[in-house]
Amino acid sequence: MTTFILRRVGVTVLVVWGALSAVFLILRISGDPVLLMAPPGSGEEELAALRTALGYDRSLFVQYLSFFGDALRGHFPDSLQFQQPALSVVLERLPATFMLAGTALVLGTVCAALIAVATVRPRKNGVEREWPMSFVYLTQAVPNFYIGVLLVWIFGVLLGVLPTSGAGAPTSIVLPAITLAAGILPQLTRVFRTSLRAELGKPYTRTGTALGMGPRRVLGHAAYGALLPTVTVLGLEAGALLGGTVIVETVFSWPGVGQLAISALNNEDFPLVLADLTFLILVFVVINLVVDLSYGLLDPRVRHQG
Amino acid sequence: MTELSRRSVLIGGAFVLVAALTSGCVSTQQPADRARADQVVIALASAVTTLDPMNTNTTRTDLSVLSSIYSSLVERGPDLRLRPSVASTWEQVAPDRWRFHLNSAARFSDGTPLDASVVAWNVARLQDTSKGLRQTSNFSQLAGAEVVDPLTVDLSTKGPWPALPDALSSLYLLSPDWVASHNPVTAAMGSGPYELVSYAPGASVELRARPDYWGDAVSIREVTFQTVPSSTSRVSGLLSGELDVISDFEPSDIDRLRTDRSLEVNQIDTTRMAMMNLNSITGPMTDVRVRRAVNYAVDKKAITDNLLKGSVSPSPGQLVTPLYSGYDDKIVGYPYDPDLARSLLSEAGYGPTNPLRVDLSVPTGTYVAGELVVQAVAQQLEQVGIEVNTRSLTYSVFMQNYLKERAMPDLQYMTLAWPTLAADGVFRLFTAGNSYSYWNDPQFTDAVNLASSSNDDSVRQEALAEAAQRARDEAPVLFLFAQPGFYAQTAALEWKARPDDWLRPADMSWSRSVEEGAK
Repeated sequence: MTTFILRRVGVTVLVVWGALSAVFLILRISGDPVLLMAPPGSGEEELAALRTALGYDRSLFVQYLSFFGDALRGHFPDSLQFQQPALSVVLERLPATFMLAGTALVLGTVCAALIAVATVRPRKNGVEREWPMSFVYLTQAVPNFYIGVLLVWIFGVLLGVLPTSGAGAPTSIVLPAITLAAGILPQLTRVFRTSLRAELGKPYTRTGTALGMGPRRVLGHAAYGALLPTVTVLGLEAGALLGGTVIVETVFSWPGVGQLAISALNNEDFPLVLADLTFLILVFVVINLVVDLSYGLLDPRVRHQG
Repeated sequence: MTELSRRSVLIGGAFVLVAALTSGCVSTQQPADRARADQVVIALASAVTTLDPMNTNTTRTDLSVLSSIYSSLVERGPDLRLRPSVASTWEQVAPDRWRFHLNSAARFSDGTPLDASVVAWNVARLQDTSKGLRQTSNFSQLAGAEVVDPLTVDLSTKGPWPALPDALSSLYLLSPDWVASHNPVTAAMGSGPYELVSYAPGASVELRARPDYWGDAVSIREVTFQTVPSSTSRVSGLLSGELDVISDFEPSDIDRLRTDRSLEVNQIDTTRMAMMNLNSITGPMTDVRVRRAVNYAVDKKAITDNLLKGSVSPSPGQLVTPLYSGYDDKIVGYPYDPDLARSLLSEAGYGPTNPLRVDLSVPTGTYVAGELVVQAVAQQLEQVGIEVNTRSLTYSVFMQNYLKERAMPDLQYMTLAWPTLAADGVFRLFTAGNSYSYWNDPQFTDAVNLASSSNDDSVRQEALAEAAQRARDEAPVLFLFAQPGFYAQTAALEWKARPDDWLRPADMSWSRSVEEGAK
């Protein structure tokens, strides 16, 4: 188990380093950030002074080393737009993103579970209920941002019952959370449903029924068995969820790190982009680490192998 | 997992879902409700980056918000004229010295008076280069401040600087005592008509009218600046009644917004001039006949009518819009004359067998309908036999080529504005040797230098007129049009969009008749 954990953590560190290096290089080769920040008409001396002040006059390799050195110590250079430490700008926005992603995760998981259970359990006539799945296929087929725009149009503009932008009112979270949840719903439902059906076909569930267990208890045991593949997908979908926040937060003006990433990119705010992406990459990798480690908890076979 | 806990999770989850959906079914606040309470919600296209008014140059977001909390010595009114603010009167006492007489009633919202020593402290803060404040470089010609008496302060300049009062209209004054104990980046306390209620970075800024404001009373009592980065979301927010004022949307949204009679759509000529900068230093554009030919070859009117929905008028061959001092209404622009363009090109040695090939670049997503305009221009140039190779670049690469590599292509789409609305500000960017300039014209450069340094207004106007005429004739750019500004608002809100980008709640009010009707 210990080697298993160590190996996972080692791979995680490598992934973070690789992703950050790629981001750093791509950003830095696309142009001189100083030219975009200086007011029009600035002379060469003013540009040079600004470049020195921000450390852009150093060689790319030195900048790369100092970026990693600072990042390891939790220091990020000041955001160019906000003129504050980039990390604190990101941390300021983080609760909003966690709240949105968390709500969407709960919403998506609960809906997926309900739909899977409802479609797998045979009705009295022995035929499975199929119609809830059409809803799932619909959310899979329609692009996420379009669902968002559609929801804005229906609930915001036509009915005028829900706020469409900002995080001011408590109800502001409803539309973005539904949009974000719609992105993870199809995968989760389908994996959970397929595994659940497979579990229900296994001998132990038949034995349970033969021993006189009620259909609900049998379903409970089968659902536990179906958790392992579902949790794997959940880990992958957490990434989709974070990626989804970038679009959903922009459409709904939700003040989180996703929207911050877009505005930082648009304004060529390199330190902020780096800090923001570092954070997103870390969260994604940590979630996957947790998912990997949770197999041990869910499946005793994994625990005893290591 | 036991039967009970699994079930409770499912039921709990379902409960959360239902609760979330039903609690949402409460009607959102509408403009009529806000009109009764004198509230307004203004959309900002990008987040406020700092609350320190000396550390930003962005009029449209940061400074618009901060101009409500802070005040300046002089301010630019909705008519674009300078008017008194903290300074009730000012005069030039020497060519390089200005005297400002302060309003004795001016007070910060914490009650401390705004006197001459406060102004001097602010000038010192601005000039402290170790702070790296963004406004500092706007005041490179300012020498210093000197307190004459508690209500009189002198500002001295390095040589004559006639545009000082214009520049001062975006210099907002902080309180030294307050700055000593607060962080002006995340908090704000000024002498303006509003005070800060809350600031949620990236999301919103809420303001409330000061009951003890020393200047003219404002009509709007409560203001919310809401960050709405997507232009589609701004449009739907206005349509749903969540927002009262929006700006910066696609020209294609105009027709949709116009169908709603509770809204008012405004298009204005901004102070930003759109043009194709021509590289007169190397390549085919060094030949003035070619520069004139491209000016004749493009039907500016067709572009503004079709692509920009007739929202602006074409430029009469000038680098600045009519709102600038130094705009010359005697100058006539280049008419659309493709035949003349063709004959000028053949004079310059180009023809069907030897066509002129040019490179054109445009930054992506930077200017209103920029890529559409460039396509149209390229097509029209091709109709007179010029082969155009168009490249869309990200803004950073575009600026890198333009300023750092000094490798501007033959044509480059860009827009220019100058905050003080003085033509010589824009003209300076075309003088020989300026890092923005790809045109070496001694006559133009001399005229601009004379205009900026002279204190005699008639000499100044004459020099500016000469420079403008020279630019028209020598065509360092392909003159296009003033960049349009698109604004839309709830019809009951009385406010006129300003060409200089300021979005000030102090200029707004709810129309009384509509408000009565709503009751």
